[in-house]
Amino acid sequence: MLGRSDPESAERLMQRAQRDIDDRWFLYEQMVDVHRTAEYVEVEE
Amino acid sequence: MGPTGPGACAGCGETPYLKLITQMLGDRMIVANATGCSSIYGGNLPTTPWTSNGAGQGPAWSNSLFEDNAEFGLGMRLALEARRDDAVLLVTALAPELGRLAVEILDVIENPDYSDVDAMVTRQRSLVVELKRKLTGMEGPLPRRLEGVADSLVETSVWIVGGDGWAYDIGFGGLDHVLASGRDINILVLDTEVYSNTGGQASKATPRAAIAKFASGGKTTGKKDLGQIAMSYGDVYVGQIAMGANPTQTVKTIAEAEAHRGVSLVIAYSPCVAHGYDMTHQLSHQKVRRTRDTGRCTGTTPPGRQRANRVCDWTAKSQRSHSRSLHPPNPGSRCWVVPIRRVRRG
Repeated sequence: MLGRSDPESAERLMQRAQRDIDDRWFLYEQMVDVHRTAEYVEVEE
Repeated sequence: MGPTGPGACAGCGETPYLKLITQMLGDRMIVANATGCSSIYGGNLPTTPWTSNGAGQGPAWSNSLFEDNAEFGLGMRLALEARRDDAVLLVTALAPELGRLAVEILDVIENPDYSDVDAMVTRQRSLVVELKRKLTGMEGPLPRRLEGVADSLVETSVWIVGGDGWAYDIGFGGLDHVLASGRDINILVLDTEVYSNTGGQASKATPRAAIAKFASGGKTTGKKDLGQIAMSYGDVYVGQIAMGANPTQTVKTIAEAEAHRGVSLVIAYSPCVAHGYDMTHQLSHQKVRRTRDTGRCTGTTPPGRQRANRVCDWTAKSQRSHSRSLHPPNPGSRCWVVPIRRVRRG
């Protein structure tokens, strides 16, 4: 719809949307790479 | 009844999750349902996706507003805990009369075996039946009070259910309150990425560039990452699921969320007629070829408080070489990178 009425705007938005997706994907990948040096210790409640 | 269930739009992506969840946990679940599509088709008796088992046991369900449903569900949990505490006190007070039965009931309550919840619940139910039978023959106010709260001695699974308009937008303040509560509560967000019930208005779950009402020129801001917000608390179980992309992961995530003895958040991608494509293919539509085109990860934070301080146990590194696969690269993997679809709307 937008691609027909305003193709330039549609294309610009789609590029930004794809960048959102890539950014989020890379963030998730970076989170996987996080290795904590301090081990979690069970604490009695 | 079919997986869609009458009352909902044909091809609705929400109802299969509700049918599944009641098949898995329905005999012991209590549901606080936010207003929206799910409250309409869920409460539109006698046709509903909520199911019961052969013994006629099904979920207890109630509906509240957009803006207070999370608190509504939290109240259910608090009330259940208060009733159970009262029941435990009464069983303790009546222990001389109840004898061995009181010892068994208190043992099950104080030493729950979550490794086999079904077996535990079955045992709790049989003990409560025996307790009620015994109470009928006892005189005095305490047995009468205990009769009224005896059912709370059975493990209950509390679920707060709603759409993205509730969870991401209007009910978010309350949702955040529940996320921070540390209580044993499960939250299911049926994420259609628009306000479905009112005709497809943009919500904070709507991705950038999507065409929706109030975003007819394409939404200019990105989709809020509700999972990340929940993960920031450190003790919340977070899972994203898409039934059409990976049904196994869907079942696994719901089971893990229920098993986590704290707050769990499950975000379920739900196709909707408002998306404007042929709903006949909505399940297969979720299986696109390239995972990186979607930016979604239907993974989970590790279940159990003992591991809650770890950021994530995802294994997306090893997924890089499997980006075309819908399946985890190895059975031990905790992350399924599930493609849903490329953002192409409007």
